[in-house]
Amino acid sequence: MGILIGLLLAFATVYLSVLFLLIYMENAEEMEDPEPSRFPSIDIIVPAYNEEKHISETIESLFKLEYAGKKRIIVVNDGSKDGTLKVAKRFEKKGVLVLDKPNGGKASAINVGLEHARAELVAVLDADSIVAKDALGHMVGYFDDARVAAVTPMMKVWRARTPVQALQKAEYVLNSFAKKILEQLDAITVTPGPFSIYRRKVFSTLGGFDENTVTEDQEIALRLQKANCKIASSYGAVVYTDAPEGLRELYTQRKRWYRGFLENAWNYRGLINPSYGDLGLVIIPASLIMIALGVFALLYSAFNAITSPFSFKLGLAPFFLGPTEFVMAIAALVSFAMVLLAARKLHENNPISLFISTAIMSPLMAVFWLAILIGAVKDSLLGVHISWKAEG
Amino acid sequence: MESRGLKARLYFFAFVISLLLFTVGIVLGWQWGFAAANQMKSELDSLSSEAAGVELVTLMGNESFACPIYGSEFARLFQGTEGYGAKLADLEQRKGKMDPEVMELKKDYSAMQLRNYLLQQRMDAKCGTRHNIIIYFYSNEGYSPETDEGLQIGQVDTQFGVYTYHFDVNVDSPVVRGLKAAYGINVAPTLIINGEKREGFTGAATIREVLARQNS
Repeated sequence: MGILIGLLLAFATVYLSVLFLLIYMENAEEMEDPEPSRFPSIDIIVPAYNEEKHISETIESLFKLEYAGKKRIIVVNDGSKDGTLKVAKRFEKKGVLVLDKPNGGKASAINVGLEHARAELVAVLDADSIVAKDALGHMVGYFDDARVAAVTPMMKVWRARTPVQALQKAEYVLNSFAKKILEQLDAITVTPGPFSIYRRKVFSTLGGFDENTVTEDQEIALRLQKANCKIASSYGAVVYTDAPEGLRELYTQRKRWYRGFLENAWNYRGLINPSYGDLGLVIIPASLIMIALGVFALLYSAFNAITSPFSFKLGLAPFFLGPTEFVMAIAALVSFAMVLLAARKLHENNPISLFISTAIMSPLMAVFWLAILIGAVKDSLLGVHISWKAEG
Repeated sequence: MESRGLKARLYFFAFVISLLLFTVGIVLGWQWGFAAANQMKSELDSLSSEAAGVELVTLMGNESFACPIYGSEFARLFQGTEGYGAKLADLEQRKGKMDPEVMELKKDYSAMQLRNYLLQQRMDAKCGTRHNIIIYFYSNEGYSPETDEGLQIGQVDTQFGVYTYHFDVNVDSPVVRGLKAAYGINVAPTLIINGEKREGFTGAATIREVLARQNS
């Protein structure tokens, strides 16, 4: 049974990698960022809560943005208990609109920013993220297509100081590349907080950010998908974000993500429908199946470990490699091809270290995964209040 | 609502390619497995020839001629057999303790062990040498490391220079049946420490005590 589950997971890994590689090969040329025909005005909303350490650098990075169109920065302080407001106010004389409101959560802060937005496009930027100066130029071209309602950037880890952050570098690169591939299927399900750009009029039609979800960036993406809006993803627009430093922070972050995913998957279960094409028939169902398979595999392993704790032996007996090991090796090779391609497209110059990080991160996350999932379900059932990622 | 497309062709091709890659992996794995099994067999054949050689040489000469050869060759033969046993244990770990192929290899291994044991007994008598010999009858049914005599023997091995011969009581071979009958084996684990029988689990401390007493 254990071998069967292992083979199924290995097959799923190979299948996803092959599928993504095929999609890439078929659409490689169309996947390049389009040259913008015009430079629409843009308001950049920076919701901030207790970010006095980062916000200055974040705003500075926005000033350095190279953009031919009009841009305005709107900082919304969500009742921070530190000096965030004071630091942000220093930028008022440079034209930054600084708004202050009582604490109400990230989504409510973005919504306040939206109320003051007047530009054609609206970007949202987490206050702990840094935008590369050429990012806007890479992203706005997508809005020449009238169907595009939002564009997401490539997210990378900012200054990895700890081993946990270093390990996440590969994960961010792969996720960003996967998002670019998912764009080809019209199946992006999250517009990340670090610098996703939206056409402002979608908020007039669909409403602002949901203030009752823990992952408002996923909820808005699913809402856009439900309204048949297109979400694009840029290769060249790089945004650096502050990844969790330690395992505890990582656990907290992932627990919030999974809770958000499960709650949103339930709220938007209507998307599992043939009319939503690849998203409704393949991507969302496959994600849920992979979670179920993963849960089953981990429970099975836990059951085995409890009932016969000494039935396994550490170490590898290379002499007796069998079909399972060869299949796993092929899965690793195909994954490596994916990492190589992602690294090349995202201008990462050390694909080997990315692959090694992935090889370390994957089992590490597998060990944590069940705990994360249980924590996420528990928080969801208990209705634990999380309004900012620092809290959750 | 406007209906969106499905890239069915891509999913199909990805499935076919993945299936092909998977098949390649499985076929390669099988091939490797066959090669490993064949290598195991040829390794045992080679050990068997070596044992036959030592036997013949020691049989043809008197003490002054045979004993030095026994002294130099037997330890190497024993180590080779032990190494084979370790590989067999790995194979057992992979394929399961009751796998027919494993059980078949164990039959040959048991015969090889008995051959070594008899050779050692005969030559010790002939050459006036003495070695600490433990015959360990074990069963893999209901295995747990707490009752693994192999681990217990391992703790006294270096101190007393023990030669251990392992026999799985579940192996259906004349060798194992004969040994079980010869030593009256009814339970596993059972140890025969230099001829002294100890039924049930025997801890390292007790084995040490027995060996110390026998060697004093």
